[in-house]
Amino acid sequence: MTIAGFILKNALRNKRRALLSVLSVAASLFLLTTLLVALRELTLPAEGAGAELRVAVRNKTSIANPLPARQLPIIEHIPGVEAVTPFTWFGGKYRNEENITFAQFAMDPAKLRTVFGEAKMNLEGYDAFQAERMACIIGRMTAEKYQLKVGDRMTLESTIYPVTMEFKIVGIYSGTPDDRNMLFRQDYLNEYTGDNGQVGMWWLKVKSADDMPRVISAINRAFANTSAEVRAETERAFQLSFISMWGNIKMLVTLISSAVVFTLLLVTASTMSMAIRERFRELAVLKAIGYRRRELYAFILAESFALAATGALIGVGGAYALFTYGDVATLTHGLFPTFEVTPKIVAIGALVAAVLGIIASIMPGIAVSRMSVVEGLKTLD
Amino acid sequence: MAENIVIIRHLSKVYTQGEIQVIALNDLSLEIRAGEFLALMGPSGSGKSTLLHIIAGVDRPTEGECLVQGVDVTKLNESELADWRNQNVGFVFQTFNLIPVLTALENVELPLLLTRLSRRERRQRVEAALDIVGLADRARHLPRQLSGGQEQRVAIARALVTDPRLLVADEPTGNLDSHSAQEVLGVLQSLSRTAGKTVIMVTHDPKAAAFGSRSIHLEKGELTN
Repeated sequence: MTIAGFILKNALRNKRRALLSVLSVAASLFLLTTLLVALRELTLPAEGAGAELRVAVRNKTSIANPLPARQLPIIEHIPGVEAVTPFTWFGGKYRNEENITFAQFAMDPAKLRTVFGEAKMNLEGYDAFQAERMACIIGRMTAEKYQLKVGDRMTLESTIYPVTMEFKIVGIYSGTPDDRNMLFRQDYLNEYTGDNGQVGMWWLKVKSADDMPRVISAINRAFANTSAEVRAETERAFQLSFISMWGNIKMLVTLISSAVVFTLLLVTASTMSMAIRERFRELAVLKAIGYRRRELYAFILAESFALAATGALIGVGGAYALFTYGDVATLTHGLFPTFEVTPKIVAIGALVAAVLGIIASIMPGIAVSRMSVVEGLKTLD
Repeated sequence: MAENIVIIRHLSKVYTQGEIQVIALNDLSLEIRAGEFLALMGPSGSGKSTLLHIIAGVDRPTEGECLVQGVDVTKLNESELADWRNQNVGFVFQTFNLIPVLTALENVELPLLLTRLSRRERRQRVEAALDIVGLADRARHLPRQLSGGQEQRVAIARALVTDPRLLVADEPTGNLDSHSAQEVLGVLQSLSRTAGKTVIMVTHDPKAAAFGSRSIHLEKGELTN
């Protein structure tokens, strides 16, 4: 027999309790992992390749206020700018749905590949997007959700403009952090809306990361004290300005996560206390035959740790397997497009389990350490 | 004449419960020779178990000395006492106190896990100890698969396996029928006579005490003979 074998046999002496305890830890850690993944998804949208070179330019007053189209040549001529495209929110509803279920933006099709290079699509798609006036391209997830394919037509009723527009799908892209958006041509939008000389925003790509601060500063300066002052910022900063709107949800999820961890701690500590309490006499015997306090504490710690670690393996491992190999995007109707269990989240789950194992062993450990052999032998007599 | 393995001088033990003081041992002096099978008798509350616990190093006196193999166990700290117990004392309890999830072999091996012996050496010692108590063929049995007498013999093997010179037994036949009690007492007697072990046994049964080479009586914490 080995010490490890001895600990294992002790841990499994009441199999039903051990199983239920492990499952309760596993369920709690699964929930915690899920909450952490959801929180990450809500607050830290994944960065796409090329994001570090992209700049978003919006109206300084509000993102809802448009920008004049005449700003384009000024921005294009700022040194360091590689390509600029308008990016106008259409806010269209599809198939009479109550809400906007995916975003649509009007843009310059010639700039698609330069500004959003991470979008993967076949060459025919790029060519058709530039050639056909009604052309639009849609993300893979939206195509799958609505079973759309190249050549299909789709009609969208705008909540911004008093128009309903018909589009022809010429390409389906993938490879972006959020393959849901629909992109169509700004000039097509202008035809419907009467070309009022306005766009929603500008998105541009700079030539190198070194150019970024200078370009941002130059754009902001270029339109300072005009009727349409702008706020240029990196894509990352732009995303973070949206994230601030999730503040309360972030706090709510954090509170729920804390409650889960606290409940988990109570369950594990209670289980360990019961398991050790009913073995007090045996531990007294071990003390009598020469086991020291630290060795007995090591047994309790190892048992507690094993319980928490097994729970973590099932809970966090199960969450990883489910969210990595399962189609969460479809299950959540695209609300959580990536739902990735990152190494950091796995590490947090493992850390919580480890701390749990240690804390749950402290009370029974102290009790055993304080117990004298004589008292221990009398306990269950 | 054999040396004294236990020398007790002016040993007292007082339990304090609130304002009440209970004298368990009162200025007790005693010598026990190596190889003796000493029966410690007396009525309940006479202090015999307390004396046994102090000799075995699991309890501490209020006053006095208790030298076991030349070591004053009252002067050792907790950690030193634990090591000392592992190397010098074998315990046999009234209720056997075997670990229910371990086989007889594994139960006997428990004290050896604290030593530096190899797995093979541990196995050899365990088998030898089980052989001495006549349970070599029950090595793979769990405690619940053994009779009371067999369980107590496994406990004796566990006490023997580190080869201590001193065995302490607290009412070892208290939970056994007369036949099993005879078997267990026979084993303890044989260990004293043939292996030279010093056995100190607490009992209130005169028939059990008759297996010993000497009996002493305690009453109200004092020796009466």
